[in-house]
Amino acid sequence: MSPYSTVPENALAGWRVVVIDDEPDALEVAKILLEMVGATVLTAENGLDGLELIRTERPRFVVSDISMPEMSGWDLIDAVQKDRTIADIPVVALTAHAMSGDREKAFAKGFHYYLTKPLRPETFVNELLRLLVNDIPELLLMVK
Amino acid sequence: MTAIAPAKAPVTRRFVFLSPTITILGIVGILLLVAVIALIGTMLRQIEANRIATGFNFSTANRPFSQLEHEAMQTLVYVTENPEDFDAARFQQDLDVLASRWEVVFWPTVQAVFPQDIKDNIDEMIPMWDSIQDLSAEWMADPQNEEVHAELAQLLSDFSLLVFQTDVRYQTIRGLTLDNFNQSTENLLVALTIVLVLLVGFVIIAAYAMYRFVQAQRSAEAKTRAALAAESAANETSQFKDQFLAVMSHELRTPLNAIIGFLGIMGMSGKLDERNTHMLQRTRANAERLLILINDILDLSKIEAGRMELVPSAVSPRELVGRWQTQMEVLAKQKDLKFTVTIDPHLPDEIMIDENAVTKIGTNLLSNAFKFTDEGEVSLESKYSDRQWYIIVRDTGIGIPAHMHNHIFESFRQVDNSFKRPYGGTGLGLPIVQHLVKAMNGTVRVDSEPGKGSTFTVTLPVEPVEKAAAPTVSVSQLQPA
Repeated sequence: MSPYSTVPENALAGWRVVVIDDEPDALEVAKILLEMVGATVLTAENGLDGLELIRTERPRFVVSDISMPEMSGWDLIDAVQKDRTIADIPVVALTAHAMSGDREKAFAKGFHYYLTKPLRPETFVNELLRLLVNDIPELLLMVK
Repeated sequence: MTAIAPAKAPVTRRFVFLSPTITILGIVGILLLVAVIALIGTMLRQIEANRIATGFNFSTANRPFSQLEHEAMQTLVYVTENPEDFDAARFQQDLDVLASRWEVVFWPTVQAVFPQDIKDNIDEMIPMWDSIQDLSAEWMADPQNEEVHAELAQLLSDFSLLVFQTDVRYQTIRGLTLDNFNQSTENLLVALTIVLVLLVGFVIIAAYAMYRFVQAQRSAEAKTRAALAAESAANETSQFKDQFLAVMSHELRTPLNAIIGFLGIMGMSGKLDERNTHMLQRTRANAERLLILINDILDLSKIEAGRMELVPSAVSPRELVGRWQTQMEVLAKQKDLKFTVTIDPHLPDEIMIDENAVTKIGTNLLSNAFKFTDEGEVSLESKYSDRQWYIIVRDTGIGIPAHMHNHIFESFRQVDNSFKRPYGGTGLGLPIVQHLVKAMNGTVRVDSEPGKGSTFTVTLPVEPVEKAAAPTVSVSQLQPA
């Protein structure tokens, strides 16, 4: 899989994706970028709502912030892993925490992947899909 | 670059009780006390014994023999001198007194202290006394009997003499014993005084030693407390620093995410005219610059605080290089520079390395290359041989004069430090690179000449991760036999 190509416009057409972030701006940026490749993006502004959304929608993958009120990203990933009906859904951490140890902690807690803010809008989707190719093999065909 | 080292608390010896001075003082003190008690005990016993030995009590038993002798003589005098007007009553009185004095001799307390020779004398006196009793009774019955009278007088005289001799002997012994007693008492008193003086002296020394000891303890404790306080203050400070860094890192990145995100989206929309596109690009470039500044400041803060830890993990170097390339392609496009990336096929699939650290190295070098190059190209080459990963960044930029080759790795140094600063930046990129490379036991080298571009070569020792060969069978390959 080549890391140099761009993702075609309808690459994620029909895909339902959940994005969770307490910052409305961060939510909007991620939403727009994913919609640009055809995904249907459902958003939540805190962990609790996000969890509910994951349960009802069963998205293909989830992108979540970590520091959030009500239910943090840590608690969210805990809850997702404990619920067998959704534990298989890959959850990507997208967070402004970039201290040493944050990444390792995320993986230890159960996040499948880890991206830091600020994201690169031009390459965000590409990077995301490259990470997810282990969990979603169809992506191999898409991202040439 | 310094890291904060917490102050070490001085070691306090808790077992000062085993120190030699205290032990010696303790032993000496105990010995002195024992000596005092023994002396006093001996003295008391001695006094008691002597008291008994001398009959030294203020009773009539004090001088038994002299009193007996005195009464015997009185009786004798009466018997020998007044035979005509003999008064039986008076004589009987004398006899009674004499008898009572005689009895004293036989009191147990008095008898107890008699040596053998006095006891022998008493044995002699007993028959004499009996005879005196008999003769006295005879004479009282017949005072005119000259024979009885003479015998009685003689007997009384002999008796008195014997008693007198015994008394002399007794007084001598008593005197000797008294002398003995006085001397021994004197000795004991002297000994006791000496020991008491020593005891007092010892108590003073011990008190002083205790005082010094307590002082030393207190000052040691104070020092420990001060050191611990300093240590906890230093810990608090570094904890605060950690927290500050973490919070600042998070807070500064969050708005930049929105800024860069929306700018990027606007750029990708393709709906902007040339002027707006230009302004967008400029805004985006400045936002990126801000991000770099933030990252550099936070990195350097972490390094200065000694908080930069290397966390190796299994990563694919190709993937890393790929990411850097993706990141830098934007810059290349913006400045219209050629950007080539070559990867050695011998590079292992996975290596153990701190991803963040090596990414910083790669991206710092690359962004410098792009920053200082206005035309031509930037190339990133990844070579591998003998467990060494060579990361080589070449550019056709302005180059670095030879005398600056070392200085550029110092914080805040740029080749051109003037206020014009056409190239901007904090000058922190290369120091960070060098620190990280050193921490990873690698090296960084620069080859450059003004006008001829620069080549930065980073060498990192890496451990390839052995992957267990696991054959994967896809479903399509399964066929019925």
